[in-house]
Amino acid sequence: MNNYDLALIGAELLFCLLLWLFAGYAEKVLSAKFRLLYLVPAVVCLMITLMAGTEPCMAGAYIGSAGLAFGFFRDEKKLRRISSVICAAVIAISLPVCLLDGDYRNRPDYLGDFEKAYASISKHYALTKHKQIDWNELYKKYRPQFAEVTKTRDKYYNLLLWKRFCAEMYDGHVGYAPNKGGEEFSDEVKHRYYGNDYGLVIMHTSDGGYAALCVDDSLKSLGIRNGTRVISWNGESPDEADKHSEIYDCRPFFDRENEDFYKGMLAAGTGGETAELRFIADDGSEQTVTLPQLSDNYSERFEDFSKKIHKGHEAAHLSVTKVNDATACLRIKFMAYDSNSSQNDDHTGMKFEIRDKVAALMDEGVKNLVIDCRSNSGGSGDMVKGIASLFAPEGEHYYCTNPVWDKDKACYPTDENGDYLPGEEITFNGENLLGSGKIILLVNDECASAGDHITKVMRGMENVTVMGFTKPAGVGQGVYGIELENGSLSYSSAVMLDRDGSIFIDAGTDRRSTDDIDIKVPFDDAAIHAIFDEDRDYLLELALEKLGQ
Amino acid sequence: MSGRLRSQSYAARAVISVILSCIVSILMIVLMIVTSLMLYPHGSSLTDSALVQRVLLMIPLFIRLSCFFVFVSYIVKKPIAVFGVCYAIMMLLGGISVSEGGSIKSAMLTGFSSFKNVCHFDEWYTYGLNTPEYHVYEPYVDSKTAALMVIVSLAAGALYLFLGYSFFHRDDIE
Repeated sequence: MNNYDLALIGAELLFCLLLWLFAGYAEKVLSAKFRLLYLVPAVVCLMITLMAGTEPCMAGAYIGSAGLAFGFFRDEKKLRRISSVICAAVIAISLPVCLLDGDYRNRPDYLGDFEKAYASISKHYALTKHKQIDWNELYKKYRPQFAEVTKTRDKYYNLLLWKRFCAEMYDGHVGYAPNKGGEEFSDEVKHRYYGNDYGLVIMHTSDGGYAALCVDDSLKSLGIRNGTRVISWNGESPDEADKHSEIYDCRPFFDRENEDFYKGMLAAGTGGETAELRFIADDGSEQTVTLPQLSDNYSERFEDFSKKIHKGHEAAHLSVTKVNDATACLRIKFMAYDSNSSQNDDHTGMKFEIRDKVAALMDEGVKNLVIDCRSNSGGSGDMVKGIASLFAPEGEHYYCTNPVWDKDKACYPTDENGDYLPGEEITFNGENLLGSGKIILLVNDECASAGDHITKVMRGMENVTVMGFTKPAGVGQGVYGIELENGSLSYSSAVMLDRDGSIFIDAGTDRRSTDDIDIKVPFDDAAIHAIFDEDRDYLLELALEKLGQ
Repeated sequence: MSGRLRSQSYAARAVISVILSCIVSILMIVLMIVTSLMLYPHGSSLTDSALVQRVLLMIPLFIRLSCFFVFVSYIVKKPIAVFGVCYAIMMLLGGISVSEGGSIKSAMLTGFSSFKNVCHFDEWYTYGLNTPEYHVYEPYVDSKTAALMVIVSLAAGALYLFLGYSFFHRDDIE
């Protein structure tokens, strides 16, 4: 029980006793000032409540404390003593109520959080027109659900609701994080909502079919292995079975092509005690098996699948390692260098470091570079500029355009069509550090924000080829975050434009972002075997092969 | 005071005290604001009407505080002691109000903490690449909070005056 509440109940009960005794003394020694003592409990209650906050279970304590003020208005000893006893009883009731009520000091206002977040995002979200967001419709859809979860106090379902709400924008910068619980909380949510584990993950392949991945050893006797072609799951094609998953509406794909790549990935979590799998066996025949539920936690297998497919080169952030005689790999896990460069937006130090490392390897015969930005979570635009400028051919290169900001009206002014007005162009000069060397930039769908920026900026360079299974995430605007009682919400609010005044990178209603890749690597049997059977870095191998050509 | 009802006597003193107290307080606030505006430009973050709204919202809060000080003065009676007691209470409650986060509703519990709502500005910021942050402040107190502050302040003020009269009435008889 909260210490403040215990102190309040204890203090008020003590006051009741003292005032009961005092009633006799006050009758003998008449003084108007003695009446003031009957206000002291209410004042003390006010001060403690100011510090602790109100709690419905403590209503008895609040009412009893206020009730003791009766002695201020009536002098009779008998009445004062009766009121002291009644107030003591009312105050004392608070203790068992607090101890027995499961909701004591646990009444998170999820609806209040939603209202506050909605008021902010509907007013300041940068891509409302670009994505044609109907805020009224979203409010009507989600408000009742948040009102319901406030009554049930289901913190896990609250997180799921937020994920669904955020997914409506198809914007990777719109996200909710709960305040409490950390990884354990997140794991519990996944456990509850990802579905059951039947021993495999199903994934869309580049030839339009589906394959089994991360197959459990127990299924091998049935002839199912990594790469086995899947025809249907519970009688439906995997992309239809996907839709039965509770987290289908929370999938983090903002570009339609990336969403298509991952079709079917939730299907193998759907089902009851058993699930029916129809597949093509090694001998070419179609077979149907009934798979038992191995566990109620699909998320563990799914996370394993996700780690394998998104794995980047295993090296430290900003390390430059020689991968063969002619090629080095610069691994960039996120767009941040150190606190000094982040604070001052100056990455000169970083450029010196990378320049030195690359120059040293070039002395050893390295000519080409793989820049591995897979699962780059983003960060500083200035760092994007710094890295791009090191390797860009000599001359001026375009990055993006800042929109016009009206200082007086404190807003981004728009034209008659509601589009932002282009302002200052951001450019940088290339150093061509590699000379005649070639660069391959590796990306995936988890390469986001500043990771998207570097993809878009470098793709146009003559010495750079962008490669991956998928495009990057497709999120490019600046982020703002709002603190809520039970979590925090972030969303795109700082606008960035392209040269022609259109929105930089982020997809509109067509769900096609404007950053792309040059070589889309097929996700086929060779890829499946390399990644899931032999744990090889398939994309890096292809990149080296390409550079060798 | 003979020939007058105690309530008239009390009301005469209390009402005049509250009115004068509010006028002086608001004048001091306005004087400080005007002085700072003369020294430094207004800027565009806060509009004139929003400034007026926030200053006007202070009136019910000053009424509440004045009623409380009237109540204290009827108990303590000596001017220096009244000043000392009121100052001590102000420091204590003001310190608690500042140190605790609290919600808008819990901030209504005392007049001092209610000033937090009047002086609070909801904020948003944005930025561009290689630009400074642009901070945008919500100029007005939202109507629901403002209405709640006025109602709670006037109700609390009435309660303090009632308590003061009740004490004065009995004290005068004794």
